[in-house]
Amino acid sequence: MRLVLEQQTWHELDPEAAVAAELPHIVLVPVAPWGEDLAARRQQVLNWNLPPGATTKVVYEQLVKSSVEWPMRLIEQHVMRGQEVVEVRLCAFYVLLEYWAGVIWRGPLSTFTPERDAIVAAVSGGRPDWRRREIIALYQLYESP
Amino acid sequence: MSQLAPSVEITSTSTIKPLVTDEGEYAAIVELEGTGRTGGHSLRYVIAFVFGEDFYDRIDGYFTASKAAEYEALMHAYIRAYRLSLGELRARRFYYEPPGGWQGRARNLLAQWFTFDYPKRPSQIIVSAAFPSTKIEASVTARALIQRRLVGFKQERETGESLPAENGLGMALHHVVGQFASDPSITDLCTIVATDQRYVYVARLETSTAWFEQDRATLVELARSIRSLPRPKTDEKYALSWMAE
Repeated sequence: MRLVLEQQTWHELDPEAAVAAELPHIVLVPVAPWGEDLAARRQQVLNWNLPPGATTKVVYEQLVKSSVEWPMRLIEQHVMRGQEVVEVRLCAFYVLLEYWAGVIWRGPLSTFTPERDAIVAAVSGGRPDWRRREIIALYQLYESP
Repeated sequence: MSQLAPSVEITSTSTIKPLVTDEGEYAAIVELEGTGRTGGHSLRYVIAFVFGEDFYDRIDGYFTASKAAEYEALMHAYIRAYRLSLGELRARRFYYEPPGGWQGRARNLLAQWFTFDYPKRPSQIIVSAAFPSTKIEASVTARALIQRRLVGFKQERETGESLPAENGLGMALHHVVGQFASDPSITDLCTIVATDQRYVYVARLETSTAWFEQDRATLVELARSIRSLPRPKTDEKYALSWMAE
């Protein structure tokens, strides 16, 4: 199972690859079972690869629904150096039955502010994709590749 | 295949050939032809899988093309006689054609099929494992099976009907209309129970009024594709060879 986005206009990266990626970009947080402290995990994801000496400030947090109505927590976090916003992180954390997953947009405030609606729509367009990941029905065993 | 035989160039691969073992388990065979990269010999591979519920046993055979007829027959006989010894009557996955365009996930032997727009379109088809027949009428079984799901469901009406037999299976459909207090999006619960002499096969649809007619047709189509679980061979020779082994 993985999370896929409706809009493929953004370049998607996995969290490991995102370490050296240029801003702005979107990161897909891998799907994981609930069996861990979600708040702590969310915090960890929000604070990935913070620049040395930076602080963070959550400016928006709301429980909403995704474009196909999965429960979703939308968090906008600013990464600050002193009073300056050096990066915006808009995170959508999804609850997908007994799993959770996330999407993070990272970029400069100057890009984020005029594009906010489009960026919110992009991170809200996630949905689980279970196709072809495991054998669910005998039928699949007899499908020729 | 390249990992199995790096020194062989595969020239053709058969389609997946379905097979049922003497024990009544599903199996499949794939045959490949290849040429040795060094000696240029023509080779034949037979790769067989015998499927358990959540595992498979794999049997590989390979031989030169000149001996293919002899060894292939031997290999096919070996695969048909291969035993998993899981027992004949047990909770088992059964064969059906999944709903086209839906995506599924497995929870042990249970399969859940969702539309890609779930939960905006709150349609879900749940196919559980077949269980040994209880000699109870399909319509009664269908009604009984849904009762546990109806906790917290404010029921408005229920209907039942028999469906034409398909693939030798008798079928009954049970439909409940109402609403869950916890999830008002689900208004229609529809269960199809198919039965043969040995097994009961169950598929259940949960959806909303807006999607019911379309989803009901999908559920019925799925139910019509159900195949009876294969029977084991029961002849004396087979039974004696099993005991001797």
